[in-house]
Amino acid sequence: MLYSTGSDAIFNHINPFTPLLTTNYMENISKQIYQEASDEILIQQYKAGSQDAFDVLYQRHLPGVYKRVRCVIPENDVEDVTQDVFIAALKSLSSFRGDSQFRTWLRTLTNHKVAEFYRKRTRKQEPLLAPLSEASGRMEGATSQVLEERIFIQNALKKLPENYREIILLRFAEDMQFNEIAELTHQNLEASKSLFRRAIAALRNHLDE
Amino acid sequence: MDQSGKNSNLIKDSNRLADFTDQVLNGKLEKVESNVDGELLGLEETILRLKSSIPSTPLDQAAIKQMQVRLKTRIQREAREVQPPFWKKWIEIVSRPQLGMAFAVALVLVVLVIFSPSLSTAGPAPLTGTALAPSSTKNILIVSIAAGVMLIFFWMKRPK
Repeated sequence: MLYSTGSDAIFNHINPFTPLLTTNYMENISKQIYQEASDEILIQQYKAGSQDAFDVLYQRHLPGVYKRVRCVIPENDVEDVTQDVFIAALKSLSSFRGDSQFRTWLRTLTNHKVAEFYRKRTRKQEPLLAPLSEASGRMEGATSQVLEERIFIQNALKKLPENYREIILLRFAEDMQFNEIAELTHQNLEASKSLFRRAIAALRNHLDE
Repeated sequence: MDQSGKNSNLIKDSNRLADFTDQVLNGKLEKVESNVDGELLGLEETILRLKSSIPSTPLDQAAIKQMQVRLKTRIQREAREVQPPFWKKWIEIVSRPQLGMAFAVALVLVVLVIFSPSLSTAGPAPLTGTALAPSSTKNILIVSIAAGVMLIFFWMKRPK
């Protein structure tokens, strides 16, 4: 099942008079309920056949995924790679067992899709970073200097070891606080800050090259 | 400087850099702190470069909706483009009740024709004086079964 329509079991469960209500009214109410539901409940509802549940998951997590992808992928390909992430999520959500948080699972999926993007580019022998002229077409208001700097930094980020790149993206792209990063990576706060400092130092070395 | 002193300096630098990053990302600082020098100064400059180059404008609701529409369009397009493998098509056909039944009937008839002793030419010799020789009986039976199966098939496929 890929993005199929189906019954909204959560709503049916709550309201025993479902057949008496109009479909639109039901849809609006179920969407409202979904907005407040946790990721776990939404995943269960999606598995039960609710497309609305996935829509809410998408709207909730798109900004984070998009921002992370935007930090490491050339501007022209950001939306395609973001779509790849959510299509992959749709395909494998039925096998998601909930051992980790959905956000963590989605982050891993995003990293895989970013790596796949660069693998494909390398195979096709395309330039790893889009030309400045291409990128500027997509980004209104950004000066060429800013774009050049962004491309330069993306390139440097790509060269970093995975744990260094990850901690920079968690702080800058996902706006996670250091204590949250420490919790996520099962480290103490001091170790996380130390890793961050080393990551920034490595990035600086690449930028100075 | 001994090892423990070096470590304590690194911890201090890590904490200062983390605090500096927090303030920069919260919009409270836009330039390097004046009281730092050496390596920490360079690291703070890198933080400022990262902050200015990483896009900070969040996606608004309209953009999210548009992207969602484009995602759905792409999913539908890809679903149309992807051809299911042969075995999947075959299972799909056989799992339809009417076609499945026709297939099963045809299969049973074929098995009967092949293994039924009365239709087989092997074994004891046929009785002499019968109206039709066994081989011609078999041929007629096979033709009529095939015709029957074809009739069932065309009946199934008739416009409804």
